[in-house]
Amino acid sequence: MDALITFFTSSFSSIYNFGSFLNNACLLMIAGTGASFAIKSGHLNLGGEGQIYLGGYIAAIILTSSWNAPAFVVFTTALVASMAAGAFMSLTSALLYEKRGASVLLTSYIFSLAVIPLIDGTITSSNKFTGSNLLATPFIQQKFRLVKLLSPSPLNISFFIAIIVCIVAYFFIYKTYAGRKMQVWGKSKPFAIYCGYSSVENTTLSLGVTGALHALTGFIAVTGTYYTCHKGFYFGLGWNALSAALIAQSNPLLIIPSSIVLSWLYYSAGTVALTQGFGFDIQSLIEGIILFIVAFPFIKKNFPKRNGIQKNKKTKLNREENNGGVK
Amino acid sequence: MSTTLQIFYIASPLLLITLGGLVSEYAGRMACFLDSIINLGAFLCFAFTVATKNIFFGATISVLCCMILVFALERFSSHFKANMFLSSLGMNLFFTALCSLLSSILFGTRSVLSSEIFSYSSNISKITTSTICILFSLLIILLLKFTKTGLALRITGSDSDVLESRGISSDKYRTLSWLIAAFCGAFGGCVFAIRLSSYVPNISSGRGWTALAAVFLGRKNPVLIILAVAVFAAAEYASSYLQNIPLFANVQSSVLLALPYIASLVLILIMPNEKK
Repeated sequence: MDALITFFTSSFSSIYNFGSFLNNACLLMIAGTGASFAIKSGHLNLGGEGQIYLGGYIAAIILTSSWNAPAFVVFTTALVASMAAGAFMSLTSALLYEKRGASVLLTSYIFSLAVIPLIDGTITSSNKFTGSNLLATPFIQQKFRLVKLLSPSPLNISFFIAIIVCIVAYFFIYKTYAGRKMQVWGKSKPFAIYCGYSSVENTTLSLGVTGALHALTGFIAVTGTYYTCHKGFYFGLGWNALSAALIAQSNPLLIIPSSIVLSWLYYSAGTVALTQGFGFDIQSLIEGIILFIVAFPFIKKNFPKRNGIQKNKKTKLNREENNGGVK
Repeated sequence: MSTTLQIFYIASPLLLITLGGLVSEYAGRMACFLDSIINLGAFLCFAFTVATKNIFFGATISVLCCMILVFALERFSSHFKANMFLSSLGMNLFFTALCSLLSSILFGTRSVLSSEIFSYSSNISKITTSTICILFSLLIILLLKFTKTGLALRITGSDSDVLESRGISSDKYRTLSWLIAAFCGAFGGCVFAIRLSSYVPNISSGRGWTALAAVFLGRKNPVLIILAVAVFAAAEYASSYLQNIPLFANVQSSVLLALPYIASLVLILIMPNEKK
């Protein structure tokens, strides 16, 4: 009973818990919006965790370098470099898809699996000679840290940035020509080809954005939450963001509430695990169960689509449906 | 000769797992849970072997448990018309967490599990498990090539309407494909655990995903898939033994860990174009 009460109330029991849960939601919103770009265009980016890790690592390296430039320049460079690195990862998958017909979900995940041990190794080897922590990069300076909103919790101004990202993404996907073309690719590839839409343009744009937004999540995690890039900070973020995007049917505005609900769920599960003697596996179990539940159609029925192209209910059960509409 | 033999030892369980992935691909339902079912199979093999003190029972019960679990979740998802692709991704996370949870409940640790009961000679275990894996792989290839069930499995993904028009339930074959994938993955997990004489968390080390990459590289053709598996096995062997070569002695272990995945991406990049 105690565990149940803790589960429902822990996220609101103190300023720290409340801020932490909202901060986690903020990270899910940005990465979830990134995931939604890929889903909307008919792809699935499973390499989110590697992209988040790479974004965070690049940010930490640049922000702890001894580069004598104004703080604004260093910060902006770190931001751009992080997002470019994430975009590069996902654009590699785009290249393999366009040139070799390789499934994006497979190549993005394999690339992520390759990048994670490389970053782990780089963190360890770079700190061997400085005598510092082998599990994390040095802390970034105070001037590069995002302004906190609810001290002592890690909640910071990136919460507003996340909401802005969601709103801008919503307008791009649903209110612009490029966004509508992307949706057509996601709904019906043959129809998009019939319309003469460029596959390269769709894949490059959507996957470039998805990689950049995942890397932005890593950047914000480092500059706003951890102030260092420690091994495994990305853990679970990519999958949870994917769940948030799928629950919201890839609608960036719906990603805001879905991220908040999922964050509350995960944070509460973590608190219960910590305070009630449950193992932290319960959190991973919940993550898996949620992604499993997301697959069920009643989610769609409860969140009817108001925007975009309506799907024909009597669609044929074909291979694309079996693969979640992913080519 | 020794190198070839070592690559063969690595390739044999990978081939079986890849064929499991191939069957699921034929049926139009990519078994994204392959990687985690390997871990679950390995854990259950260790747990049941320690409990029954018999490796045969341990491995058999482990594989059966994994198949029953996948069958139950598949039926549940199918009954409620879930998106099976997302279901399999959910299963992947769920099985991974389940291994860790069961490990902490049953053995009080999430770390490496070893026992005197679960201890085998390295060479004998490699030879025995490789032989069994190759036999199972041959059986699956024969099933796919020369049986009606195999023919139905092969066209379930691409031409399910043909099956339906002949009064054959394509759903049945989709379920069967996941059961075969679960069998291959779980048995592969048992093989890895037996070879190490212990259960190591994340024992699969991404082999489930490598298997799916091999299916893609082999273009669903068993012969090409065997070649792809051989290349991945060679890459894995290289990542394990490269540091023994003086020239590569200073190569970081992290690079070696990433090597099989980098090899996968490079192979995909250099292979002839398939997209039309």
